[in-house]
This record gives sequence, C-alpha cells and structure tokens, in this order.
Amino acid sequence: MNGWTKFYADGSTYIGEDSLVYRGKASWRRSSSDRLVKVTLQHDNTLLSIEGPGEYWQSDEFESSFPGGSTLIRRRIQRKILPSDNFFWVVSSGWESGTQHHIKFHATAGSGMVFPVQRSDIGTWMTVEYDVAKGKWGYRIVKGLL
Amino acid sequence: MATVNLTWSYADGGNAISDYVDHGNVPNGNNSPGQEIFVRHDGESAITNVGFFIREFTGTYNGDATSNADIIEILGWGDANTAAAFGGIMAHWGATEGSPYGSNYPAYDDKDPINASVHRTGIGDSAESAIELPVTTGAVNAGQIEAGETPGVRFKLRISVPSDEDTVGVRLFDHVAKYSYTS
Repeated sequence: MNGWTKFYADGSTYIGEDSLVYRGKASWRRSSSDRLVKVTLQHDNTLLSIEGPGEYWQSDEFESSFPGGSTLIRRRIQRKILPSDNFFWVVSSGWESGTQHHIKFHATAGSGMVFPVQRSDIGTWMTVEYDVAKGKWGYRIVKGLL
Repeated sequence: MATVNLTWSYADGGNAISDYVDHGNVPNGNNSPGQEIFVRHDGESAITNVGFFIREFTGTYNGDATSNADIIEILGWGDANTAAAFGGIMAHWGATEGSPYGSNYPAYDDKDPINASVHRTGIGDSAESAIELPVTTGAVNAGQIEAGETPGVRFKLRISVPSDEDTVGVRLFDHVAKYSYTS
C-alpha cells in the first residue's frame, strides 16, 4: 500500500493511499492537518516516518521533458521544527514489508542515534525523502516546503 | 503515486508537443527564433517549486558528436566570458511584461538580465540548480502553476551559437522541468 498516512493526537488516522489519491478519494490538502503527531510515507518496501506534534507537509517531486513525459523522482514528508524540539532520534529497523526509517522529535535526550536540534533550525523543515530511482532514503533540514 | 503529468505545448491549452523541438539551423553568431512554449499539468491542485534545467540528451542520440560532448559544449557557451565565445540555451521569461519578450536576452557581460536566463555551469544545469519559474511567465506565484487546461504560463527558448564556433553539426540536449505536487 504505497502512500502516506496522517496520525492525529486523538489516535485517529487518515490514509492517503496512492490509488485513493489517484481516484480523488483522498487528498493531503483536503484532509485536516490539525493536531498531527506523526506522518508516514510508504513506497514499495520502504516506510518513512516523522513523529512529534506539529505542522507537516507531504509532496512528490517530478521531472518532465518533451516528448518524454513525466517521471516521479522522489517522495517526501516534512515537519516544521518547533522551539520545544530539543532532540531528534533516527531509527532504522525492519518492519513487516521491508525497512522503516523513523525520525522522532523529543524534548529530552535519550539513548541511541540522537542528535541535538540546533536553535538556528527552529522554523525550518525536517525533510525525509525517498529517491524512487535509486531506491534510497535520506533526511535533511531545509528552509521551506519542497 | 499517481503521476502528475506536465504538458508542453505551442499554445495555451494546445496539443502536447509530440516530438523533439527543432530549433533549426543557426549560423555562427546568430540566434534561433525564440520558440514560445506553454506548460500546464493535470493535477487537481497547483504544482509548486517549478524550475527548469538542461541535461545530457537521454533519447536515442543521432547528433554529430556524443550527448556528453554536446552538453559540455552548450554549458561552455553559456559560461564564456567573451562576446565571440558566448552563447547557449537561453530562456526569456517576460511574457507578461510591457512589450512581451523584449530584446534583453543574456550577453557575455550580463548573463542575468531582467526576465531572461542562460543555462550554464551551476545555473540551470541540474535539478538542484534549476531556474525557478518567475511570475512574468503568467504564473500566479513564482514557481507555481495552477490547475487547469489554460493556466497561461509560457516562456521562450532560443539557441545562440557563438561567433567563434568552429564545428558544424547537430547538438542535442534535454530541457527539463522539475516540480512538486501535493494532493
């Protein structure tokens, strides 16, 4: 089930599975983005996720040249970094269909692969991407929505 | 993910360009006529972060050198800092400005005049360095194309051949749009 899922503070979810989006049955923009606590994005055997209450965005990047048509290049989820975000964890683990790469924001430090949030990063966007052609994932912090 | 398709055409809402764009035969020191190209897409919402770049030709190469040699040469034309060596792939973004598409194309000593660009090393030579779609193309916001069949977004593309070019032949390149879509 490729696509994204919104997770809300009350435990409910909204699923943007690709076939639903394609048929106009699901939409990131038309669904609520209030009180989100986590967003996941699945593409084939890779599951990406960001966790932590806040503002999220999802987008897909394409390239097009004539007369070749359009190609999906990468898929991404983004979360705006808050003043209360002091640390983030990066955890990769197996899941039922492949590998999950999870980034979780937290106010206090913990063990494992934990990084401090730079104060200069507040207001910028943690971006987790999946490169469709290369089959690779990565994360970076960018100034705006992509 | 459903692909959001970009359509390139010669008229707003017109038929999709179905073959490579031929910029014709251009003598040394001359420019091809600016070819006006319209872009639209089939997404329900606007596409954003729209930018353009050129890259090595990815189709079946039937030029006179190699696709790699062509892109290196074309970017070198744009990099050149003398009038005789300067040229390249130039875009004019001034469709909605006063007298549309004025004459201010790039020159060796002014590569970024108002409403025009030349693809060169580090400028429009990759997705990362794509030249953002400006509002003077008819876009509502920079880098954004609204949904619909006739968004009215267009620009002109021309080829400028340096006057000191010494090799006659066909050059091929890909002209690419990159863009983001949120459902």
